[in-house]
Amino acid sequence: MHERPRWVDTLAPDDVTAARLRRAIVDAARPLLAGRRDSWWEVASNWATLLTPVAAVLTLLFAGLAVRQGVPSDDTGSVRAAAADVVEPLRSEVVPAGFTVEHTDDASIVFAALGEADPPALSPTNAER
Amino acid sequence: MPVERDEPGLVSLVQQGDVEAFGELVDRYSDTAYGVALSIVGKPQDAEDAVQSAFIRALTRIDQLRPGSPFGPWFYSVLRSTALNLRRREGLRSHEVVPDATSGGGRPDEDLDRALTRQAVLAALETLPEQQRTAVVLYDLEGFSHKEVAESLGVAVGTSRAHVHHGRKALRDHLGRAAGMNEGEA
Repeated sequence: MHERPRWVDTLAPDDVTAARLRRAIVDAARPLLAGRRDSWWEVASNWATLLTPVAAVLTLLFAGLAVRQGVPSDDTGSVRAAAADVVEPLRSEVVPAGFTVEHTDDASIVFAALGEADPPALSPTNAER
Repeated sequence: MPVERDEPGLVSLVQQGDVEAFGELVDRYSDTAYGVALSIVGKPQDAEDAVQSAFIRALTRIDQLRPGSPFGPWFYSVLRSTALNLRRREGLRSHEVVPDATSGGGRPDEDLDRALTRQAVLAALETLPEQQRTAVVLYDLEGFSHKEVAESLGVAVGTSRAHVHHGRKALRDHLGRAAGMNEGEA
């Protein structure tokens, strides 16, 4: 620390002024400091105040949707009628001509339909054994 | 005896609204701040206003202070701009320095002596360019290093050295001349 010249002491405040100044500064700063202490809670509570109605609306909305999906409607008859009109047999479900139910057990017909003259030797079934 | 807390810790507490920590910063800096402000504005009452405004301004902007940075140089840059604004606003450049010998609390003759010396010092400081004056006061009154003075003024360290050197020399000359004149009058 360098040597302090004497003239600078004349710039320092006397004790009375120093005490008055300190008191004035701290008093003026109190509301600002209190604001800093409260700011976190204020921010949190402001957000909570803003979000409470939004949360309530969302809760009601989801509750309504859950009720609609969970409880079956009383008007089941009209639902069945509508389903019968809408549902058609798919093409893949139509059995080809050669695959009629009474011939499905005859393997030669299957191979004839596929264009193979000599069917491969089949291993005997359990029934044949 | 209370333990002196480290400054970054104090600043952090002030940021959270701690009145006691703020009071500790005021205790550390208000006396020197008063001297710096007085050297700029020239009148004791204006110096008090400048110091109070500077502390409040610093408090409202304290989040701008980087964590771990020293409070002093940053605060003095706030104080300097506050005092300069006050001086400009009040048109204090051509003020008349009035000896303030009423509130010292000591013996009246001592208070008057002190007031007259202060008047002479302020008159001598008034002759210096503003940056030079603040550099000298921060260096001699606050005991700042050139690095800290430079940081407060927003100048290079070399410039701070030059300001302090030339400012001190000019003050010595001015105060020496004033003392010689007083002796001549007596």
